[in-house]
Amino acid sequence: MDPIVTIDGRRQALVRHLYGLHQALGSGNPQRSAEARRTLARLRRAFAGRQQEAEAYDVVFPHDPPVEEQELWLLVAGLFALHPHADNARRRSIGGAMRLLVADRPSAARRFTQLLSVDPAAMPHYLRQTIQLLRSDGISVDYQLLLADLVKMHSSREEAHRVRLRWARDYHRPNRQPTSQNTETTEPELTEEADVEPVDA
Amino acid sequence: MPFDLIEERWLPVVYLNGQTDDVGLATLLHEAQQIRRIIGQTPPMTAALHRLVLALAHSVYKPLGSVRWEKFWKDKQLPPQELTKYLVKHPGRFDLFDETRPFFQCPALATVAASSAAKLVPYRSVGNNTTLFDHTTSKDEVTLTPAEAARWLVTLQAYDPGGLKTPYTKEKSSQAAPANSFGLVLLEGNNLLETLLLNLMPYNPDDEQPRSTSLTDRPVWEAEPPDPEPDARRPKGWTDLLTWPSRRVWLGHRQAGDRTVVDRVVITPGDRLDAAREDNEWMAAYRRPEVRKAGQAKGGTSKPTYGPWYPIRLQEHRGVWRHSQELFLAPTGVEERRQQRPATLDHVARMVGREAIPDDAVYTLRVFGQQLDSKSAVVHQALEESVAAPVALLKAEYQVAGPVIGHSIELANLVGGALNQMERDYCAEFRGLPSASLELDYWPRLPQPFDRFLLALALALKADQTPSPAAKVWAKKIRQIAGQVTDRWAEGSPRLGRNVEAVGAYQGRFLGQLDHFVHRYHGHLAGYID
Repeated sequence: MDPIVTIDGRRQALVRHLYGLHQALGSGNPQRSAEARRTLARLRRAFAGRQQEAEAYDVVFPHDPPVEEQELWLLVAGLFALHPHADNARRRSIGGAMRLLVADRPSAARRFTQLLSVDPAAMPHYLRQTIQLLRSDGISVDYQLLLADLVKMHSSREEAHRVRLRWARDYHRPNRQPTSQNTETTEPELTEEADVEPVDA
Repeated sequence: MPFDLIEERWLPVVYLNGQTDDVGLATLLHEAQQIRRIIGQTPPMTAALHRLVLALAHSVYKPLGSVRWEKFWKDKQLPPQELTKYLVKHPGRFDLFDETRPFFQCPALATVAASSAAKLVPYRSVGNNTTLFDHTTSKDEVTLTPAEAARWLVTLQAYDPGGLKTPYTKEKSSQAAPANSFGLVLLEGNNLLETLLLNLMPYNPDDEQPRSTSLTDRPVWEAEPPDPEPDARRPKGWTDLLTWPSRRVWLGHRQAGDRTVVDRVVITPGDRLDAAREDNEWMAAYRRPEVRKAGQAKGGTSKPTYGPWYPIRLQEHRGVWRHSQELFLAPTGVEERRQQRPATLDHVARMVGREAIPDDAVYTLRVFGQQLDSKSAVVHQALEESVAAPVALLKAEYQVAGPVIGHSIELANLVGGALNQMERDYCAEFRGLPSASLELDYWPRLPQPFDRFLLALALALKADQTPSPAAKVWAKKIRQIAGQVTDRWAEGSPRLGRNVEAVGAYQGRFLGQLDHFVHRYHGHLAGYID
């Protein structure tokens, strides 16, 4: 493997490797496909507990995760194994993916609100549920962005807040041009003049 | 002891070298080339003093036509002998303590019971004014020097709030002095001489110039001492309005050692202005809102109708630059007039047309104002703002300037409105009280970029180039500032769950609107400039 210097580059390499596993699944080569299936199963088992987590090491550690990010890399690898798909959702955050899901299944909205409420320590559990929901509707997500977001969330409270906000923004992003019923003020004169009209004694 | 305002030092000025001093009216006119500007203690005082000096200059140098004006401008001096001639013709009119003709006062009031001189100074606590920062009480004796008293007297006549006054006989109620009702616009040059000349439009009462000026026009000091009873009348002309006696005042003075002090004052209601402001007051800009009749579709093709004229006023936070269209631009002439710039700017535009003023000059438009409470009786705050005024934009031939400036300001308005709405909606969802924190963060950051936009626009038009780049920079700046404002709002305090979701939702919606507004702005402009 080529030495990759930046952390970002290493994260990218891991996620590329994960997408590679999905590609191998559908490669038509029985041996490659079986191998990929086994690897994904190992990654999924890693959620079971500390002991099983070791099974995921040989997928994640070759990409040299920084110590403070190890848990998050393992988490993302596990999430990918729950819902493997091709690299077809660039820049789609959890918020963006949930928007698509809720459009079909309004009942899932509460899950997203929950996800925004939990602190980073409880995040893995809720993320697993979210990813499973997305899988059930076949909605893909950008895992590289997800990993970057999780790393940011763990860096500081402010960053965590910023990431949550961005997810919320993506979640609510309008699908079409806003009708802007509240700010339609192309003719501001009338409302504006009301408070500048001269008042004499 | 007399106090002659022509010679005595009472006008606070700052020289070009940064030195401050008090000067008399004669020195002010004759050394105007070395003086940077008049600096009053408050913005209304600065404005009122300018009005007085302009009235004097109009009276001394009349008739003033374009040719004479150009000569003054080229000579970089006002001819000193004319003031002497004028003073010989009107002797003893500028003495603050003259027995028969005290300056800007009504000697008949000497018989009325006088109050503390603190009444003359708006920030002093006196009578029912709340004692807050100033701890003067009615028992304290407040004395003013004659120079101070003269400055406040001039300010009072232009800016006194309305309300009940001590009556001379019966009439107590008074209307707020005329300058309270509009943003007073002064075009400022590189020194006081330029400033005076830029604001000294052609004046010839024999020829009814400026409009509404009659043969009988005169400044207050040329008139006989006023009747102590209040009156309502039309102004006789421009200098009459510049020195409008909105109050009858009498300054009581006494000797304190070797100096004279003003320790008492009588202020009673004076002349009420009984005329349409837009036909008489030339230091203001006006606009007429479009009135949409019921059932008339927005953007319909029927001819728009316009409401009454409103003067442009200063508003807290918002910035007077938003009225640049009304402040700068010549009427387009293709549709019914709906904006009127200060007449001084028409004059400057003519001088640019005659090439007396180079068209790459950039002056400053200073706008002064005073906000009163809803009853027009208490001063809320005094305001002063400025906008860059590239003279190239004053010329009427750049028809494209109007729509470009108009749409650029509309973009800022729309974004400001959307910001406000975003915050209000969020507060409403959580039953919070709406605040104006986003407006406070947004509007004050726009004047500088807007000045730069105007300069770039003027340069582009003058060089016969497309103003597209200037508009793009403006839109980018609006986007950047609005983005920063919402980011700070959203990230300002950590939130969780439904709260963070709502913030994200409103912010997301706002950002969508912002994109839409900017997109539409470029679309509108493309119709005019490409």
